[in-house]
Amino acid sequence: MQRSERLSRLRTRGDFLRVEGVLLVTREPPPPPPPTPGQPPFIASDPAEGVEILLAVWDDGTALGLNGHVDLGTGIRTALGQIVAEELDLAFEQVDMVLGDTGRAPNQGPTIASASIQISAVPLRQAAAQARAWLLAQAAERLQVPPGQLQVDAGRIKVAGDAARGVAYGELLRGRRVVLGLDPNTPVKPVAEHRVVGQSAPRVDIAAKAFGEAVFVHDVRLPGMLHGRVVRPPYAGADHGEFIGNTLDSVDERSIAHIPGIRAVVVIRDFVGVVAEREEQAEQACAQLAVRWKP
Amino acid sequence: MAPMVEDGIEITLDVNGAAQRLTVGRSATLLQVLRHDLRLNGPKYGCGLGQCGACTVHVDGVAARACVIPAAQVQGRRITTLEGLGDRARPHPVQGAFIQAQAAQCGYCLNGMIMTTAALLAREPQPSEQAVRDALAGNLCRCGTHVEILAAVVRATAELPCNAPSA
Repeated sequence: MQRSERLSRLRTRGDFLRVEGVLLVTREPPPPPPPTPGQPPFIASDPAEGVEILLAVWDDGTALGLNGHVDLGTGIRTALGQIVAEELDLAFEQVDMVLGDTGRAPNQGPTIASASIQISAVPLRQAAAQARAWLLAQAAERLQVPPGQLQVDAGRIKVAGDAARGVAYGELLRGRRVVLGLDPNTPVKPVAEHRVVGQSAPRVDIAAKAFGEAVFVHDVRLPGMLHGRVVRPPYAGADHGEFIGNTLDSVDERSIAHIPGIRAVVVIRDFVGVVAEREEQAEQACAQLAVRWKP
Repeated sequence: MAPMVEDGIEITLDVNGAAQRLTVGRSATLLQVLRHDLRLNGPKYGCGLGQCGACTVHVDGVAARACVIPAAQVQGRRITTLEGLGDRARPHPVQGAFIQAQAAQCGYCLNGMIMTTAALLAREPQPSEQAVRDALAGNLCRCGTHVEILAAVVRATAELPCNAPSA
């Protein structure tokens, strides 16, 4: 499977566990952390989804990291790719990332609190270090040298001082499916040896944004998608008091009967919304819907 | 089911060099037609009030706010979106400069920043910093990337073919 094809074809955790020519590092979904005041609740994983896939190293020598957080412009797609490249001794360009995709990525809760690198990157970093250690042990066996004599450059394992002897990550994985459970005690690379992490790298997402290729959530289009607008109550900004949820007097749906494409007027206490087939119809309805609020 | 457009009128729009024949509602804005009918993701819906600049397109080469322009009023005008400005094979110098300068955080405002800058440099290839600030004053960036954006405009100015030092 081609590198780009994998990103589109492997949609679930199960899909990853069915392909060949791959080393996977997985973990059991951890229990949700205790609730924290002021923070959104953490939704526990569904056991039916199976083990979480943290990392895949493929038989073409590239790697795919998976992380539960999303890149909102903070650059974590780039930074997490650097972390994987660092621990696996791959070139940055050999690493892809899948972020926040609930079908594939591990459940790591909401993307908040500057936690992506300091907390949610930790198991990914460990997974990459563990994968490298496994690959080096395999290479040591094949090449009949102690693992300490091996060096890695861009996924190519070489015997120190003997440039002719070596093996690539991809060769070690051909025709195999290796699944390692995450060992959080795997030693990670000492900071003093970092060559990718700590270096400024161009963000991988900016070009697509500059050419209008990037799909923001606002750009998602689904078949039969409708458009909505919310008519706000008159107490914007205030957030407590008896009047909350009790201020709507009436909604006159006849006031928008002349607008085509209206599919619903939704009223739930003080929540008033209009749903229409086209955005301009929803906007017009939002502006013209006769809503009376209590004084 | 096709969206119902009871009050629809037929129009032809020239978008990125191609004629587009469409039936649109009288209240449809240019932005809504570009995004929903022509499925262009470059121009963004920001405020819907012509105040933030995220929806900026070029109409006959001039930066304009697509969210407050009725689509039916721009028939026969030349409309360019971010997609039509340049692509990876042939990037516009302003797109290249914004990428080089890493002038984005979330990037939602990037369309407006690039389109406004491209229109500015088309009419004023060597603007003063004050002229750049004035031109972009109506383009809001909530992430706060303004310093990088100004650096990107300086870079774009230097890279315009017309500003290249003569051989």
